[in-house]
This record gives sequence, structure tokens and C-alpha cells, in this order.
Amino acid sequence: MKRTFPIAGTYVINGIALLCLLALTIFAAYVKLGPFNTVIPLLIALAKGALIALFFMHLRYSKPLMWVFASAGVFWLGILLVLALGDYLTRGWR
Amino acid sequence: MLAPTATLGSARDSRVGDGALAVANLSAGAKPLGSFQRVAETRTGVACAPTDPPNDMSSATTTAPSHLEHQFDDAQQQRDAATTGMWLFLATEVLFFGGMFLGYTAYRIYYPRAFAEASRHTLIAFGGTNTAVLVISSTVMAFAVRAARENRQRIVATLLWITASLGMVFLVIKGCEYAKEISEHLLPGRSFHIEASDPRHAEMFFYLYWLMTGIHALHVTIGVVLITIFAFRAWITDAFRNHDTPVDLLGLYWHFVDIVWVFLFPLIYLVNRHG
Repeated sequence: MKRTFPIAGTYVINGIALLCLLALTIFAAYVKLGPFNTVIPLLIALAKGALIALFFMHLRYSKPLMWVFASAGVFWLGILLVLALGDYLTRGWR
Repeated sequence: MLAPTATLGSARDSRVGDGALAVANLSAGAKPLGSFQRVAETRTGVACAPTDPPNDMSSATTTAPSHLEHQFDDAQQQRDAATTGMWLFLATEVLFFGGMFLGYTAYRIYYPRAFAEASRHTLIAFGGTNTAVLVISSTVMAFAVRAARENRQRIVATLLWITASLGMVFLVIKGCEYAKEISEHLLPGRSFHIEASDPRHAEMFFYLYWLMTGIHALHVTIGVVLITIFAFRAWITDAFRNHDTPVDLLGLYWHFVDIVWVFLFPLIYLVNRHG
């Protein structure tokens, strides 16, 4: 049977993982990494957001319909960012 | 006007009939059906085998769900509709915050140096602590939602109080941070002052900082108020007995507020800490 709810340990591990990622992102910010100083914090933030959505918000255990609605939010955010930045980032192109 | 009423009446009757049938099935030791399946899971803990014979008739009969609105076939359908609605609301929230994130991104791409300099003036000790506080509060909230599904009302109330307290801790720390920033002239406006090569766009960073953290703090405040109300309701009333959906949705909201902060934190505090 498909589990509809995680076991208690999942929450504890998820919380600890989030705190570790927080420590990692702060540590990485103080190391000189060039362009990765911008990329790494964003990737860590995406990972943390995914962990929260999948386990705390139970998306991992939810029906496909919830996935559709959750993805829709991210998808429309993508449209907002890509189209708008498509303008701002290409204004220098002549 | 007579016909619809009659239809409604018969629909209600048939639902009660279904419920009685399911309860009868439960008492006969049959595999629980439909909406009662979830309740059977809840009763014996998490994700038990569905073939577990029911042995507690009182909890089975109290599940004839009095909170079921007439437009839904069963409790599971009502629950799915409510959860879907919450995710839809959160999608609109993503776009609400998304506009501000877009503004931030565009300005940061145009004025990377000003943003890097301005970000060094933010108080990372406050921001880092607050990130940890919100993560811990989210973890506690997850356990509150779990306790609600297991019908342990006192534990739900206690965990919700802890969650709300951590939310208050977040707001107090944020308030101290705001006060310190005001005293350091980092509030955009007439008194704004910053030692930077491009003070005008460093001020834009702080304008976005106050806007985004302010609206986030508003969300935290709303969350704390709601969680406190829910905690009292769980403690005093039977509002969430066999009806944990509201707690579930409150949890979704609180976790979403946490996610927003997870993205705000690196964009505000970590732009340029090295070098």
C-alpha cells in the first residue's frame, strides 16, 4: 500500500538536513568561489524548498492533482522570471 | 422550489445510507471502504495494513463525518478539494512574492556591486538565527499535523503553541534587527545613509529588503495569530476531532512561509560575505 504519511523520523531527519544546508550555505558564502558564490546559495535554497515541499508539506505522499497545482505555481513563476529577464538581460545586445 | 429541496434531502439520505453501510462493514470485520479507510489508518497509527480488523467501534461510529458538506461524496473528496484549494492559494502567493523576487533579480543584475556592498551591511547573525528558528518551527508544525491526524488533541494544541512561540521568537528577532538597522540609518528615506560606492542603488537594495522581509513578516504574523487560535480550539473544543484537514492546511501555509524565507535568506544576507 502506498504510504500516505511519513514516519516520525522523516520529519526529524528533514529538519536536521535543513539545518545542515543552512550551515553549508553560510559557510560557502564566506569562501571565495567566484560565480559559484551566486549559484551555490540558490541551488541550496532550491534543495531546501524541495525538502520542505516534499516532506513537510507531504507532496511526496500526495495525489497527482496536488503535484499539478504545486507545479503550476512554480511554472507560472518561471514564465514571470524568464520572460521579464529575457528583456532585461538582452537589452545590451545590439 | 420543492424539487431541489427534495433532491437535496434524498442525496443526504443516500449519504447517510452509505455511511451506515460502511460502518456495518467495519463491524463485520470487512476491509474498510472509501472515506473510512483513512480513519482506519489513523486509529492504529501511520500507514497500517488496510486489512487490519477494526476493533474499536466507538471511534468507527464517530467518523460518520458531521463536518461533511452536502456537495461532497465523502470525507476524502472533501479533504482533497480543500487541500487543492490551499495549494491554489499558495500558487497565487508564489506569484505575489515572485513579483518582488523579479524586481530584486533585475536590480541585482544591473547593479551587482551596489547590492554586494549593501548586503554586507545586513546583520547575518539575526538572519541566520531566524532561518534556524523557522526551520525548527516548521518541524514542530509537521509533528502537530501528524498528531492531528492521529486525533491526539492535547498534543496538537501543545505543538501548535510551541510553533506559534517560535514564530513569535522570529518576529522579536526581526524587530530587534529592524531597530538596529534604523539606528544605523539603513531605512530608505530622508535619513538613509550608507558608506558605499553607489549609495543610490544600495538604497534600492534596502528598499527591496524592507519590502520583502516586511511582507514576509506580515505572513509570519498572520500565521502566529492563526496557529494560536487553532491551538486554543484544539485545547478547548473538539473542533479537530476526526477532522484534521484545517490543521493540515494551516501546516501547508506555515511551511510555505518557511520556504519564502529560505529563498530570502541567501538573497539578502549572503550576496557578498567573502573577500
